[in-house]
Amino acid sequence: MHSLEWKEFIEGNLDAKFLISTNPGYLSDIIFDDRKIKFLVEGTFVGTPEVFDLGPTFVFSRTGKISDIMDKDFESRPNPRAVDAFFTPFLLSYNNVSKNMNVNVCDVPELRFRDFLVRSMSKAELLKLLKSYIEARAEGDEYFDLALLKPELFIKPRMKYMAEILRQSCYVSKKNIAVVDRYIADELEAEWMNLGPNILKLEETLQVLKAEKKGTISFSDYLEKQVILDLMRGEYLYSNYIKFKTWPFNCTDTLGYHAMVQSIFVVWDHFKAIHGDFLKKIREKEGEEEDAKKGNVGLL
Amino acid sequence: MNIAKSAAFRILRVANTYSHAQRAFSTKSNLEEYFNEMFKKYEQDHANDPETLAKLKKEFQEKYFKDSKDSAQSVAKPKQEKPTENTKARTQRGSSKEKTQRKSDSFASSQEKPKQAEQTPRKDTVKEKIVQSIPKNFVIKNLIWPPTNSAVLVLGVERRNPLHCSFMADLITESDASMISVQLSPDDPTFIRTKGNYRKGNLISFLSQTHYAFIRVERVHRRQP
Repeated sequence: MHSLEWKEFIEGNLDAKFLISTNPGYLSDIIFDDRKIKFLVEGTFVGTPEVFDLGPTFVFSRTGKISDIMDKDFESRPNPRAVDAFFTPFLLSYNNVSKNMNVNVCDVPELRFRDFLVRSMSKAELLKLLKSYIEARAEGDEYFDLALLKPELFIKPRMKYMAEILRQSCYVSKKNIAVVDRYIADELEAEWMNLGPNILKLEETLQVLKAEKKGTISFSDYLEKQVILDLMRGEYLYSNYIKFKTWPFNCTDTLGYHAMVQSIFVVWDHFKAIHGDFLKKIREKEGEEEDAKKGNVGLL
Repeated sequence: MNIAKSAAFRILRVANTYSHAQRAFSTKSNLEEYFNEMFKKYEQDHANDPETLAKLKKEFQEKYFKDSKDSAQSVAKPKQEKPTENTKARTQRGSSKEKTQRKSDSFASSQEKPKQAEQTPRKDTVKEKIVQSIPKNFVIKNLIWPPTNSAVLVLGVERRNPLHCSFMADLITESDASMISVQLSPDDPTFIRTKGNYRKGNLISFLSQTHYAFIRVERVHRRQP
C-alpha cells in the first residue's frame, strides 16, 4: 500500500526526512517549491503505483475518507483509484514550469486533530455519530459528510489556522488560489471577515486544538474512541501506523497507559471487531437487497 | 481589486469555451445559434459597413444554411448594445489580435471602432453563461487582503468529482496565480522523501540502472580526511 520508505521510517530502520515539516512553525515550512514538487511527483506519485496514478491533467488516488468516494463498489474493483482534486495542483505546477506556481498545504496536522477530537468527545457521542454514519451508508447517501453533524468540533477549530495561512500567503504572492472542501468555504469566509490586523504565529492558532481537561481518562476508553473515529474516517490510523505496530500518540496523562502499552494492538483488534461488526452487517444487507432485486435469491 | 476583476474575466473565458463547445457539438439546430453568436462579434467590428456585413452573411448562408431559409432572418437581426465594463475590457485585451485579423481580411481594411451608443446591455447574458458552465455544487469565493492589495480565490470542491476537478484545472491553468494552498494535512505519509529522489539526481546512477549496468555506484558515507 505504501512506499518502502514509509515502512522503513515507521520501523525505525531508515533515518527518513519529510519534504515539509510535520509540525509547522512558519509558512515557509509548508511551501512546496519547484524542487520539492519535482521530488513529490517523480518520487512518490510515480514510485507507488498501488496508491497513485497519473493522468495528463489529473492525479488519481485511493487515499482519504471512504465517504468522499461516491461509488459503493469502489473497493471491490481491481484498481480502486479515483480522481483527486487536492493532489492535482501539484501535477499542474509540475507541468507548467514557466508559471512558477508554488503549492502550500493549509490543513491542521491530522494526528493532533484526532487527539483533540477524542479528548473533547464522549464515547456515547461518538457511538451516536457511528450510528448515523452507518444509516447514511446503508441508505446510499452520496453527499453524507461526518463533519456536518458536529461542525463546532470538526470544522470550526481548523478555520483559524487555515485563515492564518491564507493571510500569510497574501504577503508572499499577490494572486492566490485556495482549493478546499466545499462545506468549508462558507466558514472560511466568515473567519476571514473576523481576522485581526496582526499576523499570528502558527502555533498560537493551533492552541485551539488543546482540549479542556474534564478529569482523568482511562486509556482503554481513549483507545476505543480512536478505533470508532478511525472506522468513520477511512481507517487512516490503521493503515499507516497500527498495521506496522506503532502507536503515534502520547497518552501519559491517561490512566492505565503503562499497564496496557504492551497489548495495545491486541486491544485495538478487539475493539475493531466489536464496532466494525456493524459495517459488516450493513454490507451483507446491501448484498442481500441487490440479490433480491436481481432475483438471485431462489437460485441458491 | 483589479486582481479580482482579472480573475473573473479568466473564468468568463473558460465559461465561453465550454458553452460554445457544448452548443457546437450537440445538435444541428444548435449550430445556427452558435453561428448567430459568432455574427454578433462581426457586427461589433463592422458596424459601419453594411456592405461587408451583407457579404459575410451571404457566405455563411451558402456554406452552412443551404436547407433552411428562416435562418437568414435570424442571422440578420441587428442588436443595439450599450458599453459595459466587460465589453471594454474585452476590446482592450483583444486589440492586438483584432488588428492582425483586420490586416489579413481583405474586406476589413479601414474601419472605425463601433460607436458606444449602438451596443445593448450584455451583462445578463454573460452572467447566464458563467452560471451554466460552472458545475453543480462548485463554490467560488473571492477574499481580499487590503494591506498588501492581494486576493485569494477560494474554490469549494468535491474531492472525488471529476467535473469539479476538470473545471478547477482549467481555472488554475488560465490564471496567473503564484501560490496555491491545498487542504491537506502536513503530516500525511505521502510527503515523505523517497530514495528515488536521491537516485534520479545523478546521471551516472541513471545510466547504471538502464543500459550501463556494469557501472557501480557507491554512496560515500564518510568524509575523507
